[in-house]
Amino acid sequence: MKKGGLPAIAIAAIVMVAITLVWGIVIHWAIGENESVVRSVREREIIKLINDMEWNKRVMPQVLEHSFYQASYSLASKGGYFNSNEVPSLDCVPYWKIYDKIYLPENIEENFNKTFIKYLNDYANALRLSLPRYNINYQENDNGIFVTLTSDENLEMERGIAKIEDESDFSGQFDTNVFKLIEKGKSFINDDKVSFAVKNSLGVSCEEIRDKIKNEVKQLESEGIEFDVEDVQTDCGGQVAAKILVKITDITKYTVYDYIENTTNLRNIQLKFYIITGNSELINVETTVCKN
Amino acid sequence: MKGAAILVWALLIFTFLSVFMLTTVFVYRYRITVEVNYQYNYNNVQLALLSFLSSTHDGEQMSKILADNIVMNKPIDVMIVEERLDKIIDNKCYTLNVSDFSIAGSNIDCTKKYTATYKLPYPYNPRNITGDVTLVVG
Repeated sequence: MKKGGLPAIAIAAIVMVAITLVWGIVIHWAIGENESVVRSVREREIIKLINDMEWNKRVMPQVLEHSFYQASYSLASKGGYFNSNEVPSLDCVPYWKIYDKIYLPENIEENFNKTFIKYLNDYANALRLSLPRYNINYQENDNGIFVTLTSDENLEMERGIAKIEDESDFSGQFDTNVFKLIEKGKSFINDDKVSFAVKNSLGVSCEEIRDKIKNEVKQLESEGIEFDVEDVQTDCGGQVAAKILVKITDITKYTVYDYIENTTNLRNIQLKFYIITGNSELINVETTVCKN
Repeated sequence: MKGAAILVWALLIFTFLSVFMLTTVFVYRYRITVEVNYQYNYNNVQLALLSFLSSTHDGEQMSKILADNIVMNKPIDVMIVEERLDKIIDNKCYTLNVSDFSIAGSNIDCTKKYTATYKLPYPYNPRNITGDVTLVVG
């Protein structure tokens, strides 16, 4: 230790104080910076959440459209039933008439709602979207149907630090009307023209009766209404019965999935139902369980 | 002398710890800055993808055009996609992937890459109800 100079302990103390001071300043600055940086990350997370919500809102009309046309196609191909097993059915196509018994679908709007919501939920699950409970309103107009989805609850998205909500109401105009298609089918059953056509075919020879029935029924076809006579039974003594698949088709094609063909393609929405008619119960009702 | 040696050792340890802690703070802060920077760019890419998918062609949203064409196995019009992406992404350094379709911007000199993905709803098919559309921007 030199005389007149600072003692080593004093130098050490000065160095330590200096380092501690610098350390303190740095910590203070770092903590201050850190807070703003963390806040910035959180803000970015919120922006990300807002972007996701924005995407969900923009994609909802598309989801609505796909679900609506798919629901129209499914409901029509199952003869207006949400579950075609409620009545005798064959390959998911219900019998609307078996001799004197009539099985017309009731509560079409409710059946459509169930089908529509099923598809909406399928999309929501795939998009990881939580949909609120919706009230669905249909307004039929000259261009088809205007659909409005309203709910008291908001659309919600939550992620760790934030939760955002936005209005959940959506609407869309769709140019097909499955309700009209089903009404057309019902009025066709009420007119009972096919039964008359089958009964009018009597009076020809036993060999000719099948062709006669096919021709008579064919004459009833008009734009959008087709008949497939799938079975004709006769005892050749004036008793006859026929099983007919009725197809009532909408003009426009939509990209929809068919459960029998297992493909998505451009298809017409087509109401399908069977009728068995005649003056004797010669045809046994063949049924299968619908799994769709 | 012994006292001075202890003092020197104490000073050394103190200095070492201080430097170590300072470095840790700087590294920590650097990493957060990188993260913020990443988040910022990611948000921008997400926004760019959102703008692209929401843009319309002949009154139809791009997201719907892409979804319909993919499901129907129809070719996607590269010109339409490129024109829109070029407008949204100034440096033309991007790649858009959706299903088997891929398109890259004219700029190939891209360094850092940021990716944003959204789920695209396809026309209904229970086995393939949505598909990912991904935008990578350099």
